Amino acid sequence: MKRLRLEAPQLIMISYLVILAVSLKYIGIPYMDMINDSLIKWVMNGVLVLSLVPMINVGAGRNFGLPIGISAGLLGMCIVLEFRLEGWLGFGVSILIGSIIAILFGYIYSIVLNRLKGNEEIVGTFAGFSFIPIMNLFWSLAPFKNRQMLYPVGGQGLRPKINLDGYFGGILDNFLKINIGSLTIPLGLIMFFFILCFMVYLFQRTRMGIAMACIPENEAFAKLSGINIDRYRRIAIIFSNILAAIGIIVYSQSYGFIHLYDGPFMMAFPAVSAILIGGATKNKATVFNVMLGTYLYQTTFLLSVPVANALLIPEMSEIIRMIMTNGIILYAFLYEGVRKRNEKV
Amino acid sequence: MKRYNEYYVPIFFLILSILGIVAARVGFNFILAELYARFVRNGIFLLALIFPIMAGMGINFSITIGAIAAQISMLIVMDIGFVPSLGFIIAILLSVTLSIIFGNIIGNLLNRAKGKEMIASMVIGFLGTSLYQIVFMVAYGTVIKPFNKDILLTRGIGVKSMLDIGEYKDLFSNLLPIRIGDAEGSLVPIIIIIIVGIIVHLITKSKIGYRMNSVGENMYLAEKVGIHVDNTRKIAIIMSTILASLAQIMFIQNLGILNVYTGHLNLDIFASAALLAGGATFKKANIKNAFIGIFLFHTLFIVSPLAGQNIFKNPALGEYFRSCIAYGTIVFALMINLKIKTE
Amino acid sequence: MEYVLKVKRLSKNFNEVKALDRVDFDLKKGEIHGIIGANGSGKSTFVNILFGSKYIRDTGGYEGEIFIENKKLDIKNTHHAMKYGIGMVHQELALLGELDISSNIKINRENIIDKTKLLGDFALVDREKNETDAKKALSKVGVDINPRIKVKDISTNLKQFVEIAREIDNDKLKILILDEPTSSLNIEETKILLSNLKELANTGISIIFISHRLEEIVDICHRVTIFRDGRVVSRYDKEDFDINKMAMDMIGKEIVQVSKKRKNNDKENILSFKNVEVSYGYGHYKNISLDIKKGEILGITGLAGHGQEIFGYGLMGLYDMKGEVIFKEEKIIPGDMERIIQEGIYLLPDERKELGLFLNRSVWKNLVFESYDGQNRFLKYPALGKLSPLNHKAIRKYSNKMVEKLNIKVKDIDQKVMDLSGGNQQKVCIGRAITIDPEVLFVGEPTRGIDLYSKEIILDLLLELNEERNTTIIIFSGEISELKRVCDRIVVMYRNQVFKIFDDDFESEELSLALSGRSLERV
Repeated sequence: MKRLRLEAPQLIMISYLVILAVSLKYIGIPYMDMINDSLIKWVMNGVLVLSLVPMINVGAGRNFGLPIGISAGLLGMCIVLEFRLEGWLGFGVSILIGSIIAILFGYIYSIVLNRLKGNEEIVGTFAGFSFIPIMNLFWSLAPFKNRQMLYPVGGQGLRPKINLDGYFGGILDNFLKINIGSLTIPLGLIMFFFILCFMVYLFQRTRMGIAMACIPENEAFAKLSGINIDRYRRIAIIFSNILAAIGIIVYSQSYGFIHLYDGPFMMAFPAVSAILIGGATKNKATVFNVMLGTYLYQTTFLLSVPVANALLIPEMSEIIRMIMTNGIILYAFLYEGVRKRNEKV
Repeated sequence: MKRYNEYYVPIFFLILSILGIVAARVGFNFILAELYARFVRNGIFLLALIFPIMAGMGINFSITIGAIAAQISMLIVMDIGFVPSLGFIIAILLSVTLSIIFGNIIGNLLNRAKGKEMIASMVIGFLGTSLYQIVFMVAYGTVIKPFNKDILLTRGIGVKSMLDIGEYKDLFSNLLPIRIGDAEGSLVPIIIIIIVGIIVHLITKSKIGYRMNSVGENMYLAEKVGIHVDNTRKIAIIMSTILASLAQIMFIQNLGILNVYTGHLNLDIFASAALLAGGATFKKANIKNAFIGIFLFHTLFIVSPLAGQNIFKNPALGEYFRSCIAYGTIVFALMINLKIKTE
Repeated sequence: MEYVLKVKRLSKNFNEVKALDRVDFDLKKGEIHGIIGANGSGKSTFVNILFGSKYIRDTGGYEGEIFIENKKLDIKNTHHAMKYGIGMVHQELALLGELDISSNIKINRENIIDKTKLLGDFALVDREKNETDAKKALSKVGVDINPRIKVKDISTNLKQFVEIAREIDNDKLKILILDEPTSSLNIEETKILLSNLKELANTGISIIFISHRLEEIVDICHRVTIFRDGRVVSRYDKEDFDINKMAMDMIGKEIVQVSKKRKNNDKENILSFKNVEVSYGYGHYKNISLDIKKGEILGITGLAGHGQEIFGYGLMGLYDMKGEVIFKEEKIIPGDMERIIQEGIYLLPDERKELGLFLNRSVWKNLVFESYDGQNRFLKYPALGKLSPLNHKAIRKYSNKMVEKLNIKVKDIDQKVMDLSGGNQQKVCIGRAITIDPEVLFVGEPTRGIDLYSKEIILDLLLELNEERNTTIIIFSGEISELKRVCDRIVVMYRNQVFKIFDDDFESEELSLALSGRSLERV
């Protein structure tokens, strides 16, 4: 358990990373810049990946319905912008409102998933997909008044990308930034991530966390031991959604924009892929899996952009990213299938 | 236990469509013309979904791979530069061959992911799309040298994202012409679709169809009575892929334009939503569902942007509404079907 | 007379437990051969070997020789068995509900339309011919029904007939194995089936007939073999049939030492089931009542499928139970696990590995799992409730003590439960029950799959728990001799009803007979 699982996807990922790192030298891009960027990218996406953990551990599958939690966070930020709350206040209130909405969304989502135990992943995928057009209708019709958020022409409906400058764009990125030579460490950002990770870690150690982890292993026994499985799953799903809402807020402050409409459409797959690279299995994911997986995943694709550009085929980096992302997820499905068969024998 | 009535969903769609027609304030002829085009372009996709459902694998979202096979064939035909009528036949033969190969691979993969076929097939679809992109966006012009330089982007790497194949569009135009609503079309594509429909129906009544039914209902039991489960499932997927590639050829031919990188996207979602709208479930689907579904779903699809325009003065809303309907139908079907299974 | 099947010195071990010990068996052409035996007597293992069950292969195959029509054969899998002409109808029905009757009967043997033969697998199926065949096969078992009806729409009883018809339709069929075919049938249907089976045998098909209902066995069988503890204990020819003797043979007559002082049974009721309904599998059973007295050890027994487990499983939500259950003068709702556990009722199910352990987790985790409500000291900050971390120090200390006390053989308490032997696994389960310290404890088959030495320890542990903490213990088990040793009262279940309750006359013949639903008056 403690040692890192090294399987085909991880090995391919790492060798790809090495190849990229070596070729960077020839292109002449300084490593320091890349390291600085990689730290930001790490946390920017890390919280979203972290949000998968509670659901995996309760046996509700990898949350392909991530857009639901993300929508909650987006809504929280939009409300904050409507009231023009800036800086830390805006950031804090976004998280607060986002979390409250996430509780509501998570509750509804958990009702659906609890009815369909064992099929969470396909249901989650489509729940997430179908949630996006619903939110799109909302973004176009909601009576927001802040002109900075609306379409410049016509003044109706939110614009797809809302600039966070002057609100809380980069607020965590620039908090407690430490410069050591050319190395810039966004200490505030990383600390925020670590605090969240630590909270998840602590939760896993509580009585409830331990009981949750037992559910996927033997649901019938857990039930016989007096554990209310549906309630525990609901708590885990809501927890996942809250983290997803916080995750998108952290993401947006780094990105500098709130990306509405189809923005969250494909966010679940990279997150799932990242946690799989980190070594998470179907029913077990640790904070360490999240940190390692996200760093490997994000850094690899950070490095691939300049390399692809140098080859004059800029699309390549994105295509390879998609191949890796989906290949890793597919590998997980196939590999689990085999293992299941072995267990039966 | 309340029995799920297979007509609930079609009736719901019928009501929505009628409301949509009223709100869109469009003429009947306009709808008919649009329906003709959509029937020709999408009909066979729905049929392609039937076999995997029968074999208990749920909806085969990797029919996109079949569509990719068709696009590859079409591209190769374009690249080599056959005359339309010969090119069309070669494209069909080539895409069937490719589909058999791809279908085999998908079938093997899905046999390893039993119980997760739907999401796995979806990921396979995504993965196939990316691999396809890398071949035509990156390898073409660098590793693969095309015969016909015109299909490349000006930078010399990668195929253009849109190719005009207008000459194929007129292939059937003089054969059995008919007027449907505002559209001038040919009866040939419709006849083709009906023939394919009949073939699909006959296959469901054949030995392999019976086997698929048994496997679909209970794999372990089917194995016990001596049915080769994995093989049966693979055949279902191969046939599904072949049909999807034929469907895509019909689509491209009718449209007259080959959208190299986007032509195959999302058609899995819309085809499955349409089939489900026709009253199919993840366990049961027949050609009746396919033919009912395509009319109901696409009527709604045609009118919803116009209805959005009229009611909210915002055509985008209709767009959102229809993707909402497409995904919503699938979620609804998931809830109904899986719930019944657990009961 | 020619022998269709001959079996010589057939043995089968599951781990260390001998399920079948050098069994000899033969079957003549056209003979109906009955097999009877109590639970765990080895009769199902025997037929599973004959039918090439995967389970047998996965647990290491069998020893001994099997001859079919004097040819020595190795039955590797079900497919093989079918090829040799063996057909089996299981107790759990193996039919496809969504398909119609004819498709089920002709499954994988469909007739095809001749003209389309060239198409191979794509040849069209001749539905009419299938239906005629199906009708023919059904009429052989005495059923006349439209073969187009979907199987899910017919009654369970009819399904039984359809399943038999499916096997009969196979024209290669030589040996038909029927495992309790009449358990879901009423008297009239049983009669029809039995008379048709006789006729079937007359056509030359040999039948192995397993049943708990001795009257049926006596009625149709030519010979009867009785299994006990994995061995053939006796064999009767038609002329020598004697139901009472057979029933006694089945149970065996061991004089057991009573290792317990029986207490007075005039105590108050702690748990009462009043006319409850229970459904599981295909069955639905009504009007079941039982009173359990405070501080007693109650044994519930019966032959397999007769419902010895329904009280425990029903109360704990594993079976669907409805009706009035009174615990200490308060109503409780069956299946409301959170409350039931809080009230102090706990179940150690007989399927230990499936329902009673986390095999992948350590011994200590299994020992204390969810015992924290009663054992506050296991929580670091009990005030935090469910959000409190565990107090690992206290738990480890306790677990080490328990391991020592219960004599669980482990490397250390971090060892995974999966690696322990059956006996030690059961000790872990009982250890957890002790930790949770319930007022009422249901235990299912406490000694199943456990070596002799550990059996003693486990029974002693249960007795100790009962004496020291006055825990009411309900043991449901097929091991009657063990129940006789430890129980204050024994309930015999028959057809999912309480057939008879025995207070002290455990040694009477009546108890043995009660298992087969017989009482002395009726003999």
